[in-house]
Amino acid sequence: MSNNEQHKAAYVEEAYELLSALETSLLELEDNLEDMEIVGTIFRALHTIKGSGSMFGFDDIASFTHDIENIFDKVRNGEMSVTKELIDLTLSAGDHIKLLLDEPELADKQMAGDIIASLKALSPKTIVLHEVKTSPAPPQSVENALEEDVTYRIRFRPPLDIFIRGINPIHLINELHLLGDCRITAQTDAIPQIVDINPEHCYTYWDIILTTSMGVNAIKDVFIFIVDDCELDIDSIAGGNNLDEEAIQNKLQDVFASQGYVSQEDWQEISGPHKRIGDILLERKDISKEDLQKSLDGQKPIGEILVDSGRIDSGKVESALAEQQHVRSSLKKKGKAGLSSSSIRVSSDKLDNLVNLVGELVTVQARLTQTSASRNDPELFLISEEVERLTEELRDNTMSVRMVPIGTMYSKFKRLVRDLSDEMGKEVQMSTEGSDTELDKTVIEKLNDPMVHLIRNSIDHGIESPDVRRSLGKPEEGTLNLTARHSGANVVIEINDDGAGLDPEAIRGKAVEKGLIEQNAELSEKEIFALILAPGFSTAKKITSVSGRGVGMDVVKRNIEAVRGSIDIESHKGTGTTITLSLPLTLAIIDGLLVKVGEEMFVVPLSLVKECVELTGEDISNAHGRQISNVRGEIVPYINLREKFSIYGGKPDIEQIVITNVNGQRVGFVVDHVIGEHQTVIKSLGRVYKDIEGVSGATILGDGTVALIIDVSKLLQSERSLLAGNSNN
Amino acid sequence: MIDFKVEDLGSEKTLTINGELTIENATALQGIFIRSLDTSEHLIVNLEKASAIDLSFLQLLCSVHKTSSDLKKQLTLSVMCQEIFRNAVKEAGLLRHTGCGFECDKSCLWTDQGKECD
Repeated sequence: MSNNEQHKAAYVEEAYELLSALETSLLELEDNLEDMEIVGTIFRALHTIKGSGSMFGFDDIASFTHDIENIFDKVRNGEMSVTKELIDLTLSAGDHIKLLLDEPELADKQMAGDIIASLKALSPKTIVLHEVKTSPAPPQSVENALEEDVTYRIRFRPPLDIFIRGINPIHLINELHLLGDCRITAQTDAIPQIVDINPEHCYTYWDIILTTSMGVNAIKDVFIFIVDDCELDIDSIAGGNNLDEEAIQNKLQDVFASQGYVSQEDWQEISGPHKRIGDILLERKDISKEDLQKSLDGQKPIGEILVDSGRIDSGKVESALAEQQHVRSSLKKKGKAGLSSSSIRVSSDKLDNLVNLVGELVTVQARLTQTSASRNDPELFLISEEVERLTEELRDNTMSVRMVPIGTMYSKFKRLVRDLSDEMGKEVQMSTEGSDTELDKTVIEKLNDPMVHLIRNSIDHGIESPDVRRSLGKPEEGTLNLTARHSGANVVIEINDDGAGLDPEAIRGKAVEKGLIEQNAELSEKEIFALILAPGFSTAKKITSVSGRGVGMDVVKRNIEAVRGSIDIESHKGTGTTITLSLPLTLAIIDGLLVKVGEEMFVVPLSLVKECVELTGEDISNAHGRQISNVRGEIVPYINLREKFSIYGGKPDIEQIVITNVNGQRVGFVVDHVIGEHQTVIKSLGRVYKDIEGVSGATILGDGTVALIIDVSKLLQSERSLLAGNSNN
Repeated sequence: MIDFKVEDLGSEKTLTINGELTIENATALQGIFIRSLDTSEHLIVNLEKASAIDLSFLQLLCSVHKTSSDLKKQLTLSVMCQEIFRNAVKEAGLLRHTGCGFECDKSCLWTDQGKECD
């Protein structure tokens, strides 16, 4: 990949992240219409999408986003207020930018034009001072960008005739806002009396404090057309190397505090972390040391004293105050940023590759452990133990790198809920919990479609329309809660609504009608609810575009099971439904229970294993040919792996039942021996064996033999189908 | 286009200026200010019907204020919560915490622009 292509790919990746952040911010803004901080976040996201898009040749995106950015600039400046319509249109604009990134050839120019026109229609008439030629959008070249923010003190004194040249200096200053956090103070001391003033001259000049990572050249570029005729002083005052001093101060403070010489608070008092106004004015040569000292004799704040004594214009004090506040808030922000760990962007392919290599290492380590155990060499044994420990740490660390907080997915759903409830005329409040819960990146990716379907179902079939809810004595606004939490080696996600709930009778009737169950079948409520997961099942009275085509829930189940997860349904008619998804933390390496049947080895995912019990000949004869076992008074059905996989040879007198819990149901698997826990690196079986039921993959053991990984839920399903087939015959 | 009206209430005069208070009309505006200030002890400038304001006008206001302070006259702005005026002041970086050194009665034009409409 050429450098340019790499940059383009990086831009696309970043743009997706920014669009996701944009969507989240827009939805937050909808709840807090006056929050200018969110408006600022939206503006910056749009600005970066536009600026970087233009730099890497995404001209359509840049020009489209430019118009949206302009609208939000107006919002930011208080010229426009935030309305639902503005949010709707901006969300559509975000969708359009996504389309331009995904499939630019499919992007509808007419639609883009309509969005812009509608947004412009929301905007009040712009106040145009007069047509001026300003500098182009600030360049954002990668070369110019610094690694960290630097705060600059800028004094800009335009040429007197700048108005006559057709340039509005305010526009130049506004360009600086685009580079970073900026405080502007106009200086008016040079403005003459009304009889002396030339009204077409510009006497005002500005002190600007700007914190930016764009570098000094980007600042100079803003003034490029008048740089030879204006006074432009740019000094770095904080950030970059200057902050080393700050770091030293902090270190000193820590040392003094730790030795008990001085408390942290006293140190703050003594050292004074920020420059004082007088220092800044002295540094700028706006006042002499003597004048400053004289003024200090007074009791008033230094700024007021200086202005009152006529030694300095209030504008200078204002500007110094702005600098002090700006630097203080920059340092505070920097301090906050310093608390969070730094990060780098790594392609997911590299991570996948790393996980594969760690998988290989785990396999080799198992082999080393086995070899060392078979040779009576204490030194080799010690080394093997050390390697085992390190491999385990490496495995856990590598897996943690792939972990993504589920909150990244939640934000997408917020938009989905908003759009669906609008579309269906329902009022739905979505709440989330456990957004910090982490799941493997691959699991998160595969979870998206099933979750979308479940949420759609909740809103379409579950939550009633406001008038129905009112008549039922429920609040008009329905609630949809998404909760995620860790549960052992799994993450449990619950989708809970306070809607109509499932009707067991209706489900049963439909299942009989569809031939899924016998008329007189005895089913528990849980089993009846599980019927909605069967292929082709739908109880919706009418088919909507949202859901109800009967192709959904079985696909949801299939997708969840494809990531070795399980699904559980709990519902109460009239009060709501809770769908619980239980998902493995990762798909690459799992903890398994290694078992042996004849000469064959199998792995059962440890997260599903509840206990192991013995199965004696007596137990088998007591069951009278049925594959059930009495475990402390509880009847547990089992599947005999020897029979299931047609393994020949004599079985031991006492077999073992590995009891698992699948979708809330306990099922046992009969094996000859339970070997023990095993770090299982999952390998796919390849195309030839991909359709084998009951096996989800394979793993290589320390001695090089292959062990099949049991797909517990599939095995159970196929056994059920087999039993159902037999009973029908 | 601008038009203006002066209401004479003895020593107090109200100068109402309508239209685009921009560089195109700056020279005319200067003349209006000079004449109005000459003939009044307390000049009230009403900008409630201004349709556009730019930096050149804000400079003129500042200049009138300096002159009036020197002449120990009083200058008052009547803009209520005129958004155009507030935005122009804010955008130009003129908002102040403390008044300028020329004022004798704490009447700086830019100190309260942000506050009064919040």
